[in-house]
Amino acid sequence: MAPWEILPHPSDLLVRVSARDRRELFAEAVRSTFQLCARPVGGWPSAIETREIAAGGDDEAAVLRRLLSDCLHEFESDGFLARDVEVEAIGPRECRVRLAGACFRPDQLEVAHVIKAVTWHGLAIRDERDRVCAEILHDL
Amino acid sequence: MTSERRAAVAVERIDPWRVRLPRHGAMTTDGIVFADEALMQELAGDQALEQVSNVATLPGIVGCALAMPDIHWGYGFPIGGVAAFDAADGVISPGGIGFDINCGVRLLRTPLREGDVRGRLQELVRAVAREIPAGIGSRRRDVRLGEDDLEQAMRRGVAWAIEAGFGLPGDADRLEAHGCIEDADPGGVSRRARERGLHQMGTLGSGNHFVEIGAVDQVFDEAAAAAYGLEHGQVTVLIHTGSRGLGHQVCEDYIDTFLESSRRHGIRLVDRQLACAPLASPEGRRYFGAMSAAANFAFCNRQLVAHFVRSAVARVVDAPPESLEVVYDVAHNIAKLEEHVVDGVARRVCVHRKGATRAFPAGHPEVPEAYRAVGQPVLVPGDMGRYSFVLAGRPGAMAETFGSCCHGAGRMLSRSGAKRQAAGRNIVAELAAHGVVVQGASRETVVEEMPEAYKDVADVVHVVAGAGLACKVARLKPMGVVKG
Repeated sequence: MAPWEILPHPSDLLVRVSARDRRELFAEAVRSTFQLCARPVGGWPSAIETREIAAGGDDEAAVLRRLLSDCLHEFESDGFLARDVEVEAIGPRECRVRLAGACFRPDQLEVAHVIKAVTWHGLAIRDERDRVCAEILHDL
Repeated sequence: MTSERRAAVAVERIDPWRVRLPRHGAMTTDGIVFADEALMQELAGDQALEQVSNVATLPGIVGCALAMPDIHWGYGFPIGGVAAFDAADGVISPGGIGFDINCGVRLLRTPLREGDVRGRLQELVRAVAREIPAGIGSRRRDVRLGEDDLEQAMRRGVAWAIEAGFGLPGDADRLEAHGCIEDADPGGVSRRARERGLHQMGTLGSGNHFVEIGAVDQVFDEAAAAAYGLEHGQVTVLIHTGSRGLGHQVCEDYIDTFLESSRRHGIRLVDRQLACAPLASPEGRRYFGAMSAAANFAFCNRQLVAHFVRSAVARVVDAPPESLEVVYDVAHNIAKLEEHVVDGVARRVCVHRKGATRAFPAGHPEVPEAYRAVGQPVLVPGDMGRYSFVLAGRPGAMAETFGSCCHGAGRMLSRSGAKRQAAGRNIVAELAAHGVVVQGASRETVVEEMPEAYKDVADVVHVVAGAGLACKVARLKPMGVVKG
């Protein structure tokens, strides 16, 4: 089962992420966000840098939205893409994620989608049988 | 968002142009959608109508929750949504304005005829593309704004840009609100929002933003066209962009604040993207000031883009920069304090237009004097293969939609659906074969924005004209397009 898929939406980017548990869900959501933004044309450099993002919120959906929003900010401001994602800590109101990746110039990137924001629309984390799922609507 | 949440919304057809969504559940008023049967069919299976119903649950709504015929599924409000809230006891919602605050359209007219540019389109499009940075994270290196410039732009709008040398003294006379929302308070704009906007003024951005060189190919209303300075065969330039990262960050910042505020004020939200606060509350006023500041940034952004388009055109063809005159500039993602007559009583309301354009009729004091006899120009872009429209506001808009009208064609295909349909095709070559030269920041954007991805804007305009919200003045056909 693919960890994430794009669902039909007329104007924006609706993504469904699925995982075995919340830690994996958050990691896959972050991976999907970076992969949906762009990929490095010439592959990854040998020098990989790490960045840490700590996100908080009133509930786990709010935490997820804040986390993804901060990831977008890393990409928009520095051209940073994460190759590896590790969720170091996760709780109902906060999480801490370590990203390993690199910064790229625009000419080193193949842009897939220009995601402008992570919306709140319909955002929820649901338990479905033996999986945990989230649907995330990105504003394009 | 899952299928079980996609409950069918009951609709009652009122006439060929209007559908009612009767009040039910937590709605405090009806919804009205301006659409014919064909446009309604296209809404089947998504959440756009449900979103109209959601808007009707917000406190202090005045009149009905409205949607224009280019309605489609958005976040919070639908795209094409209009709602007015009482200024004293209603709310303001960033989700009713959108992330791209004051995304809007500006139309320039030129002294050129179609034949003057037809043979030099490639050159012209390349020149415009060189002058206007486009695509993700695009920024200008030739415009060095300081903190004080940004502050002035957010506070004073286009007046600042003109004083700074970007444009002509008369430009502001023909912009919605003269290119400045007076309620702007940059003090509510965060550090991160300022950082995002500082190097982006004068850039196009991405997605559906564009600069389009076109020509008037039909005139429907000679008197209004003459007032707007438009005639058959004349070359025009249409600019579509907004407040870039600055506006996005303002929206982002305040939704978080308003979620807490909604709870504190006991406002039950059916969609968290509808987070709102009483307009009269400290946080409501603070957002209104910040949103207006972002709107002024957007007016300045279009002013700078127009300035650099003028330079680019002047370098390629015989048209000095000052000969490219502003016809009008409209916001289509904004909330504004306006006075409207509701059930015979004048009321001060905060009109949210999300993917909807102001459409004030003849005689309204906010319509520029030069256009007051015919009504405000309403700029309705279509797609890059067919045409766009210039409309004029009609009295029906004041009577029914708080002086509002449609803003575009509305998408018909998802972006991924467009990519599937474009597989194996060369959209740029196809458009070139139809006489449209396109230069995009990326192949993906051009594909996502291909003509088939959009409804035929003529169908949308047909409804607003039939409903008496606006009338057709002129049609513009694209010849050269720079896509974000």
